[in-house]
Amino acid sequence: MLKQNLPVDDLIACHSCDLLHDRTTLGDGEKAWCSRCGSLLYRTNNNAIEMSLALTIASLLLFLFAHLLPFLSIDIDGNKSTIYLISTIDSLSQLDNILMVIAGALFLVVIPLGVLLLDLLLLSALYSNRRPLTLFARQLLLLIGRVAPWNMLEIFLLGVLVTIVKLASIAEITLHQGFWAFVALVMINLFVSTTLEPEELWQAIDKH
Amino acid sequence: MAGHRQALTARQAGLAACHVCGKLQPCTAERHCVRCGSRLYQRKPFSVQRSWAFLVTALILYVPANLYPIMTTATLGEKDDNTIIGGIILLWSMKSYPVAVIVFVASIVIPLLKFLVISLLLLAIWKGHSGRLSQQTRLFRFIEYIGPWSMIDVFVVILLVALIRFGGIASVLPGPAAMAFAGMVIATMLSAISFDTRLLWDNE
Repeated sequence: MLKQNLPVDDLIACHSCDLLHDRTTLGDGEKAWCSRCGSLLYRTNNNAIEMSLALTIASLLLFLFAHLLPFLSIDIDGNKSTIYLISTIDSLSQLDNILMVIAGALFLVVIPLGVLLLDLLLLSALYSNRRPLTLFARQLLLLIGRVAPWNMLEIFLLGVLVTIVKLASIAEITLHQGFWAFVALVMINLFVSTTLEPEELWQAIDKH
Repeated sequence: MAGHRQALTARQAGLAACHVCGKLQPCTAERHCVRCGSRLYQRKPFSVQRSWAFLVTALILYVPANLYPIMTTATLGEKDDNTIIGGIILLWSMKSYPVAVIVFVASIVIPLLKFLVISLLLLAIWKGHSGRLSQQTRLFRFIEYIGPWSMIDVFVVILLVALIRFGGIASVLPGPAAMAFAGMVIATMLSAISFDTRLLWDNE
């Protein structure tokens, strides 16, 4: 039933309702929406890759600060201790609850750090435009698409805030640099996820 | 808005937009995407069945997640079991109203809303109803976006378990509900990932 006369490369199908649209050239920062269901079709952002690369490098540094600098101090009846984010995993591993350790390590370290490193590899490859680097761009982007939905840093931040409120009645909490680095990291992550569309990256890969 | 000449879907035109990368291409059986190499489908395979299966799994896990304690606190030999609801009531009684509301919405309202919306949309596909499709699509995208926020309580338990260890006097242990709840959230996310909104529009 294929209609041979359709210019397939000049068309785009809405990912929510499957309606075909003509691709029109957009200006910098403009977006195209589906005329039937209102979902975002695609957008144009001329320096999306440069900007995302810069923000990814900043995020990686903030990720290191958040995990390696003191996160917060907890004072229960004069019993004061300073906590590092990375030591929560160590502390979990002292329980005999292997699922809890895996969940903690995955959601706190492995997935967020993995996504950042994959982003760094992909974006620097696309930015530098060198042949050996771009060879794996497809595989990188596929992997990012699979892992990214499970990146829950911003939800974890809300969890930290709820924990602080819960502990406030029995302990005195002081926030340190690691915590603020984490807040900045979440803000940047949210910003990057709203500017960077996978479609844009796929088109960049297609050009190579 | 991008123009569309004729109200034609990719499927009606014999085309398929890759589910992974979005590339539009002719679709014949047993094809792989020309751009990313993923298997090419016009609709997600067994979307309705998979979505139901994960939703039922989530619903089953929702029971132990709410009945069992999510954590046990021990202070000087005194053990105290905390359920999710108990934790919310405690926060409310501590006058931490905004936080109590956040946890209530994340742990109780969002999962229930997700069960309700996904099952209604799956029923609509099954019955061939086509109601207000734009609203249904937007509702689904909203549910899909807020789904992971239910994980807050699991993260709180992970943090409390880890933090209190340093305190000395008290100790917090995760309860069976913590993993049941995490499993429930993951199952609802998988249910949403399996759901194909295009099937709603196919009834139009």
